[in-house]
Order: sequence, then structure tokens, then C-alpha cells
Amino acid sequence: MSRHAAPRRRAPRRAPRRSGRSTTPFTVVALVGLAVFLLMPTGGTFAFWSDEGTMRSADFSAGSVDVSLDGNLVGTAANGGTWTQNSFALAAMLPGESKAVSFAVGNAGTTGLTYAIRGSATGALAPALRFSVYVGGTATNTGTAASGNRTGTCAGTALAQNFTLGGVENEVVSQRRTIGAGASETVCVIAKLDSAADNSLQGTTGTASFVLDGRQVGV
Amino acid sequence: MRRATLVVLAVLGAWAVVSVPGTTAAFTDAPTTKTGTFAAATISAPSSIGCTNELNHDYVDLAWTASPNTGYRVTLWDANNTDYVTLAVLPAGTSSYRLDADAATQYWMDLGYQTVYVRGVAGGNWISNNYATRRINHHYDLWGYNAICA
Repeated sequence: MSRHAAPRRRAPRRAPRRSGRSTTPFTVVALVGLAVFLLMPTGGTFAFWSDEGTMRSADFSAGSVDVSLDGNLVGTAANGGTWTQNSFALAAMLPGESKAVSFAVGNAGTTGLTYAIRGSATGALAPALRFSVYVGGTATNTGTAASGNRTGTCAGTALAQNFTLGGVENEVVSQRRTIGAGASETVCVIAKLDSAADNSLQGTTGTASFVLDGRQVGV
Repeated sequence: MRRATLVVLAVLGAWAVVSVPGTTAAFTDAPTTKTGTFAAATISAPSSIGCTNELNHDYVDLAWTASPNTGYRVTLWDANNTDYVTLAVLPAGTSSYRLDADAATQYWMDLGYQTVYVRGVAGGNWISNNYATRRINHHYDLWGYNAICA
């Protein structure tokens, strides 16, 4: 005989229990505070519109002071260089003979410049050499060695005349001259063996150097 | 002064120099142009003096060679080699001289053997330390003064 279990009675559904108490302000504040607290570590999660602008300059470039000598030594990389004028020489000089040479002093830089001239000379003949510097004129050389009458002359304006040079650089043209960017002017130099050179100077030699001391304008 | 004091003063001095206002830099360029070589001549003496007689002995021709030929001074010394007269100062390139026995300047000469000196000169100031010589015989006869290469 089978057993028939008596049907179990379903327990009546219980209505949700209501506490009967209303949510307190304290609870609301706590929940809001909790929410704020939870949001804080992840900050920036609120999008915001923005804009910014950049002011960019054009290029700033340094000016350059670049003295060229007859088109040589162009470029700041060659600043302070040396250019030897082999044609400015004279062999078998006799007292009173001279040689002149002219060359262009140019401003290959981007700003105006001023320049002065310093000079020095070496060799046993140096004390008997007389130099003169002109500006704005070219050189002319006449005469022959056979006649012992070689003569160099310069046109233009004399800046310094009949000076000697020693082993230490001396300023020979102190009044600074101005050359605009890209411009040039002609400088002419005469080297003369003193007419009263001592007899003991026979067979001696000498050389000279001139420094074109260029600076930016305004200093 | 103690060394430490000197060091402190040096440091302060250097600081003072560096801290001087108004040291704005200036762009510069100072190229150099060098000349070639200026060489003084060496005045050379003639190596020898040739002498040629004129048929009637009115004069003798003196000639020489030298390099460089910068010019010469021709002098005639008396028989005792104690005094002289300058016969000529020749320009560069000229290396001969005719010694005329009848020329007025020659009347100064002593009679007999005398010596011609030739020195290189230049520029009016320079003169060779060396020289060449040539003896001549200066004499007088019915035809006047005569010069003969000796």
C-alpha cells in the first residue's frame, strides 16, 4: 500500500516586511558622502569643455660680423683667418723703392660693421720699411728693378702715412670705418724702403701683417 | 700677507671683474692679411774690369760685369792710394766707363800709374763692400795727356 503523503500546505506568502520606519536624513547624508567618496579616487570622470591657444614666434637669428678681404675669408667659420697677399712683395729692393697693393675690405655679414687696422712686421728689414694706408683708391706700380726706380702709389684718401711696424701689433688706423652689410671699400697699402736705409741692411728681408679689426656697429 | 688672505683677495677680485655691469658681448671678426716678403738688394761688385786702349791713347775703355747691376761708382786714386776723385756715378744697368785722359777732371791725376776703383752702388746710399780695380798709366807727352792700360 502506497503511502500517500499528505499534501503539504504551502505556506502563505508573506508580504514583504515593512519596517514601518522611514529613511533618516542621516542615512541620506551618509549615502551621498559614500558616493562622493567612491567617485573621488577616479577623478576627472566628468568631461568638461576647454580650449587653449599657442602664440608661436617667427625665427630669431643671430646677426653676423664677417670681414672679407678681396673676397677671401668669407663666412663666419673663417673668422679671424689669415690671407696672404703674395703679390704684395718686392725682391732686391733699393733705398727709396716701393710697392703698392690694393684690396677690397668687404662686409660679408648680415649687420653693419666698423673696422680699424692694426699692423706688425718682422725681419731685419722691417725697421727700414715705411708703410702708408689709403682708402678709396687703387694701387699703381711703375719702374723696373734694372733701373732701381720701382715706385708704388695709391689713389684715394690717406689714413696713415710713412709709419713703421714692429714685432708687436700697433694700431695704425684708429678712426674706425663703417661698412654696411654687403658693401665693401678699397684699401690701398704702400711699403717703401726708406731712402736713408742703412748700408748694412743689404740682403735682409721683412714681412708685415695687417689685422682688419671688425666689430658690429654700435659698439 | 698670509697666503690664505691672498687667495681670498684674488677670488674677490675675480668676482668683482666678472660682476662688472655693461659687459654685453659684441660680435667681431678680425682677419689678417699678410704681405709677401720684401727683400733688400745685395749690391755686388764687378768681378773684373776689362781695359781697352784707344789707338792714340787719348782714352781707355773700362768695362765689367756684375749681377745685380744696380749702378756703380768709378773713382780714381792717386799714385799713393791716399786720395781720390770720383769720375762718375753710373746708373743701374750701365757697366762701362771711358776714362778720357784729356778730360778736365783728369788733370787732377798724378802722372804715372794710378788705380781705378769700381764699386756697386744703389739708391745713392748703398755701396758694395767689395770692389774691383784696374791700373792705368797716365802720362804726358807731345800730344798731351795719355792713358794706357797697365
